[in-house]
Amino acid sequence: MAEGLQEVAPTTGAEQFQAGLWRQNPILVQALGMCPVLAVSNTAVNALTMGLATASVLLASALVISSLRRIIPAQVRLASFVLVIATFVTVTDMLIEAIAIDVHRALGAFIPLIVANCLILGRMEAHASRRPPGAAALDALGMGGGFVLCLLTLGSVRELLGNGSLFGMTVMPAAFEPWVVMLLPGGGFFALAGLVLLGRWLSGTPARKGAGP
Amino acid sequence: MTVLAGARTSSEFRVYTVLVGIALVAGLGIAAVHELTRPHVAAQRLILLSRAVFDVLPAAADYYALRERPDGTFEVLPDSTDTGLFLGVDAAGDPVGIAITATGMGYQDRIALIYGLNPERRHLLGLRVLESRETPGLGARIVDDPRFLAAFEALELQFDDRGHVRALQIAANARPDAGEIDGITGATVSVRAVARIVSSSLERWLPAFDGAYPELREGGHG
Repeated sequence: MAEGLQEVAPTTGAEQFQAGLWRQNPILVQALGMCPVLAVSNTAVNALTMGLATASVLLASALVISSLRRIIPAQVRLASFVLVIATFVTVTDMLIEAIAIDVHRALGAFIPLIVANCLILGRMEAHASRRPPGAAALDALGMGGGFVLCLLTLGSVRELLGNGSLFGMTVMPAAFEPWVVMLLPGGGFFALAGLVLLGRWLSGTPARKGAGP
Repeated sequence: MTVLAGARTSSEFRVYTVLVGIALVAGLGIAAVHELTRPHVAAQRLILLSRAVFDVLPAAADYYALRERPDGTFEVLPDSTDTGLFLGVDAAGDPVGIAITATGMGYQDRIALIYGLNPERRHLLGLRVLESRETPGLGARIVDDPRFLAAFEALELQFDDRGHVRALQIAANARPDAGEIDGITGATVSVRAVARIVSSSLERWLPAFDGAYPELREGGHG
């Protein structure tokens, strides 16, 4: 992970944003924050909500911590990061409960657990606390976007195969026998492995154009 | 020496100021959002609650909220206020059962549930978990394990010689007609918690309803 972070040092805003989406994708490349990825990617709605919740916490925390980077003393930086992250997680938790209580119930303990998502704390320590708010926001958007895309892909594949539906609407023909295993924890590992394999295969084929300065 | 000491105090002071400052702003922010979302959350919870009442009283077409008066009789409230006690009625207005909410300690936090009781108060009609923070994948299965929930749909209550209700038992190959429910592998603590919560709630409410139920039939029509 540390090598991956140092290897590519994006300079322009676009590169900053794209890094999280693909080259340093938190799930496919860095393998960060895998607990919710496996646990709540059983349906597309759960995956999308979880992804968006994590991405918004990431973006909001990055903006705040980047703005406070000269104020926060180094000794208590981690405590401060966790404090800020926990605040946004609590707020997100309350907002989701107010907007979509069914999804809130389905996600259960995993929304509060965003606090402990190492993707967020990792980005704060490695990036947001060292860059100005603009760069931090772009990085958070890229990483959050990459996280949402992967989670949504996983959730859609698992719901499609495991339940024959997408976002709760039946799309597979009636003759389709659902693969219930895809909704169970094991199915999460299968789908994730398939996705990582596909990602590696896709990024391996074309030569890396902008790999490193 | 003095310089170092001075530097340390000022830096310590700064550390505390920053941490306390962040915590203060964070607390205020959370309190503000809590206040803003409270009415929406309450409205959403009422929708969920009403759905759960119909789930545990399948024959109900409508329901009323009940409130126990200090003298032991029950007051029928026309609107769907959350008193935790509900009288389900069919289309003709006849009682089809009572839905009772109960809370108790689960594995790591409070479990809130609701169960339906038939009008004769001899068997349960269903159970739904309203709120829980049990371990995802293990204890949390009390919320949606279909076999576990189905066990409560025709659970015969057992009474001792003096007419007191016996606690629900967890058993392998459980017989619902003997007041037994099947456990869930990996969710032992949570299943026991549910059985305990329902049992103590039954102990609390069955005697209270024994005298008051005829009167409720009247109330149900009103």
